[in-house]
Amino acid sequence: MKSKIIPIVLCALFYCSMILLTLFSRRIYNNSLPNVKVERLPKKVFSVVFDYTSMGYGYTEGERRSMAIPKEIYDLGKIFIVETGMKNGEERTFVRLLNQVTIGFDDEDNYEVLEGISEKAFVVVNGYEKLNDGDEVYVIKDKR
Amino acid sequence: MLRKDTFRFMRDGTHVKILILKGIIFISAVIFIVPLIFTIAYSFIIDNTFSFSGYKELLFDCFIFYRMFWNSMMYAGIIMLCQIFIIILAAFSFHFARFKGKKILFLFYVVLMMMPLQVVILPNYIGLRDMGLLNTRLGIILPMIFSPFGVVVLYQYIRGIDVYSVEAARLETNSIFKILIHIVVPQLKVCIYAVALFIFSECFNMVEQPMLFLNDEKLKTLTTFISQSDNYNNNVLFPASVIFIIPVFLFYIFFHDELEKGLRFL
Repeated sequence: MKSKIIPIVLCALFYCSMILLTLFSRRIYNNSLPNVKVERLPKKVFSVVFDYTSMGYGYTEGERRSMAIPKEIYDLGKIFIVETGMKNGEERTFVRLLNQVTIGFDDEDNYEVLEGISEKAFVVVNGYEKLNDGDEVYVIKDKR
Repeated sequence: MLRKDTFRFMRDGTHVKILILKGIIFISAVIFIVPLIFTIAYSFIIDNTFSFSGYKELLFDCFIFYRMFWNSMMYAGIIMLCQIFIIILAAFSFHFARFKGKKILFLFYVVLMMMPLQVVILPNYIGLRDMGLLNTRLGIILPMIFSPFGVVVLYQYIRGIDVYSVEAARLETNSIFKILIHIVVPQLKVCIYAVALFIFSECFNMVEQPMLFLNDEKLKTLTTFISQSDNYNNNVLFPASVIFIIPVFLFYIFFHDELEKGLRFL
């Protein structure tokens, strides 16, 4: 039995390590990733003013329902959308930086998005400050 | 001052022969062990620098590895246990039972044992397809638990056990299973460990069956992970190979005393 002590200890160490890594490695890895919240951009009503003075009609006011992006995200230039991609045989979540977003009118907190972002895209609304294009992220799921 | 027997080894060819034999064995051992050393060394070398990042990426960024590792352990463990059970019963029956066609049946086992995998894999595939067992765990386990290799080896070993102890046990009891468990199996322990190692190693290393019989990634084994290098980052392959070696190595060092006795017979 004494000669079996070292093999028993080695076996125990190896298999216990593998069990612990199997159970906790994903959690450890996810904690090392930037944690972000994502949302589809909501649609809001913007007050719009059209300038027809050159045509002799003056200004026309109205309302338009469009996608709204928070001003702080646009002003920082950090508009990221999440996309899935394959890494090491699994689907993972990555972010892509959008550079060509056209905005229109604005309200107190948001800009109107005219083009550059799809309605179905999920935009990073929290945790975007330190992100770079192509980074892998962990999406925090809303518990509601 | 030279002694009379100083150059005796040169006249006596036996020592030279032993030296040559030891040299050949040493060179063979080096040839076998060099790839292993290279694998271990390259697992720590990333971009020509010593680094643990390969292991870090494998263990903390490649989660499919764990699923395939435990699949391999599960298949190898279940197949080994089932095969040992069947092998003991079959070898015992071949030696102690008397029935017509025993020799022909044993010859059939020997012929099956000598058939390479490539010959039997297509009939296996067709049989599993017709039974609806493709892409299932049973499709991997069932064909492997009826392997003839262990039966043939254990039968050869069982022929050398003490028959008188069996005869004496028959005076005490009529139960064949009691005789098998209490008299025969303890005498076969050494051979069983040796055969178990071969079975475990063979099943842990199998690559053709998972690749052909399984489509679902969740059921595949570690050998398919290592063989399908296109899907994964190159940094993880050498560390995965090193970790792949460890279970069979641990099995060996756990039972190496018994295995050496069994392998001497084999």
